[in-house]
Amino acid sequence: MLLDIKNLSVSVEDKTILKDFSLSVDEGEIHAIMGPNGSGKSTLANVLAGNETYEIENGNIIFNQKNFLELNIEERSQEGLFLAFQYPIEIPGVSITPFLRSAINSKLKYKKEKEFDSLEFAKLIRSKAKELNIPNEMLSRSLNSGFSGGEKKRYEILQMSILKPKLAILDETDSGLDIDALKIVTDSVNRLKKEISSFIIITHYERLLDLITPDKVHIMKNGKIVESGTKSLARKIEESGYQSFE
Amino acid sequence: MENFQDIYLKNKSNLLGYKYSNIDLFKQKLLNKIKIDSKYFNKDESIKHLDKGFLNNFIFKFDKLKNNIIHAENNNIENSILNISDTTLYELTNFKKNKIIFNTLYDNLDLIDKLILKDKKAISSDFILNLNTIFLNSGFEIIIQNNDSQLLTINHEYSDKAIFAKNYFRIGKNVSITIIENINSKNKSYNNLLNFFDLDEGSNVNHYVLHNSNEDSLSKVTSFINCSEKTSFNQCVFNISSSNTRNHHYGNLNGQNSEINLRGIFFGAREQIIDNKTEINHFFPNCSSNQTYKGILGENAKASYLSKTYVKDIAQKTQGYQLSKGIILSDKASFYSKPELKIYADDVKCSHGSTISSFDKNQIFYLRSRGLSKKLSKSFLIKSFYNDIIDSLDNKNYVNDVRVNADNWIKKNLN
Ligand SMILES: Nc1ncnc2c1ncn2[C@@H]1O[C@H](COP(=O)(O)OP(=O)(O)OP(=O)(O)O)[C@@H](O)[C@H]1O
Ligand SMILES: [Mg+2]
Repeated sequence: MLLDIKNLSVSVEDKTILKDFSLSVDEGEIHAIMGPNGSGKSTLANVLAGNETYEIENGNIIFNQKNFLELNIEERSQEGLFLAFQYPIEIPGVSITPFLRSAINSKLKYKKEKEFDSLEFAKLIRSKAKELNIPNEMLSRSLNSGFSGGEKKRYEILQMSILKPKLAILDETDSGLDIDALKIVTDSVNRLKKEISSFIIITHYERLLDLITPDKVHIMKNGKIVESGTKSLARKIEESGYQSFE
Repeated sequence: MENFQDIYLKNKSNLLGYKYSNIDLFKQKLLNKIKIDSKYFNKDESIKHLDKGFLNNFIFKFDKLKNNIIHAENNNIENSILNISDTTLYELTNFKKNKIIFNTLYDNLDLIDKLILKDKKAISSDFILNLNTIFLNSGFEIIIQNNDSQLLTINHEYSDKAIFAKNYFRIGKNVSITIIENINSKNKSYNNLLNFFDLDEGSNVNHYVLHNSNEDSLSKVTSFINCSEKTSFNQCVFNISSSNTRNHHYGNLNGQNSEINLRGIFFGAREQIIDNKTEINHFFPNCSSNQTYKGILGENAKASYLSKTYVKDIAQKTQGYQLSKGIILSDKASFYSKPELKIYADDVKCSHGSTISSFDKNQIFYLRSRGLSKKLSKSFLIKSFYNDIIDSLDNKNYVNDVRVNADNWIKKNLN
């Protein structure tokens, strides 16, 4: 078991958002989470990544045999978690190349492996950018700053492909991507599937799941998983919405 | 603290111009205006934001005057260097080769007279500049007429000294020069430097200052900049000193199609007090100006930044921009900023902005979620905060010095 969430209850500003939430993800699995707006999908992603805005009221998160709730934000990343944000934050003045090199080197240092020098890293980032059809001049721009919605999403995938996490959470990465970009991104995910062991894919659209085949599909409502199944569940939602799930 | 009268009388023979009765008379008049009492200080705008403690704790150590100029040529480098380590000890490198004329104030009555009486009105309303005039014991005139583009580095290395200097830069027609001033004071030095810049038509000056003084030394730097037609003056004051500093810079646009940019980056920690002020007067049409100061303040540091743009009625098509930004690293640090606009022309574009904040929580979360430690994330954000200023500078060595010093400060002061 790579990730095991048990009876997790989470609140923010005295409002409970995740209620007794449980989910297990095995190595090599792709899980899709679908659910109406406000059901708590991004909250789950943020809590996993260690966002301190949220208060853990109850429950457990075990990741890679480690008690995740005892680790801080950067330690969770270094342990192999990656969150592709639904709304990537703009950080003017921080250019992606030195930032991402620091990020990967922090991880390598944590794992006591050899770090990248700037030349090696420049090569790596250029080759990954090429796979994602990101032009080189984008690599000298500030993080997400002034980027279009789709560009931000592609940047998230670029970061993922360099950091090579054990578990990647893609929070509506497909929203805002044009058809060609969607293809590029899903190709990249499928390629990474061999290197990255597991994915949690949060989406509103079945079409994404045609391109990345999930092992399991979960329906989330009011902070809970109300139904789990296979890809056919996504088709059902596409056809008749969330009404029938309680 | 002894009173200034006594200090003046005791040290008179070590001050410039003391032999001349009209200058002495003028100084006596100034001295009579200066009082050391808290009521006076709290009313006086010029030192409202200043650390007044220095008056009580500081011993002014005046050295004997002598005229000491050492010329050297170094064919391995192109640029000119001026090292000043004493009130009147000047080591000059490549001044002759680069045709830079250098005169000291020592025994140069005309010049002393000119600099003391020059801008008298402005000077006499500022306590610190009055001290500069009364205790004047150092200073020079630099005349640059050669219009190959040039670099001049001035190293102020003071130790255990009181320096009150008036330095006068005369920039000739179409001259293009970068002047870098490194200010390193240590061992209870007190330095009060006043720079005058006169820019002749078509000239272009970059003035980059690096404050890097020790904890027990104080630096106060003031500039008066006069720009004639088609000139540009770009200043950047980078302040990494561990002590209290004051930076006041004033620019006059006295001709059309000119620009003055006064920018600064400052770091403060412990009990530091950092007092910044800039002011630009648009007296002619079609000019632009930019006043931008950014500060990073930790622990109990206090900083202020007053900026002002004045636009005369005839100064149409003026563009004036003011920006003040602060990052506060602790609850006890504070930053006071006050932008001012006085506009008497109607066809102008002027703006000011001011933001003071702590780190953005979402940005920190984003960076940490990629594996960066809290400290490293903050350090990225601090760098991004002032990078736009640094990127606009065009001297690699200065930029590099600035980055290295900033990195060290960040390493030491972030947790
Ligand atoms: N920091 C916060 N402060 C206050 N309320 C919050 C905060 N974060 C989330 N919420 C609330 O929690 C609920 C769940 O939000 P969340 O963003 O997790 O939904 P979601 O399932 O991702 O929705 P969507 O499909 O629209 O992205 C919402 O009602 C939201 O307003
Ligand atoms: Mg969401």
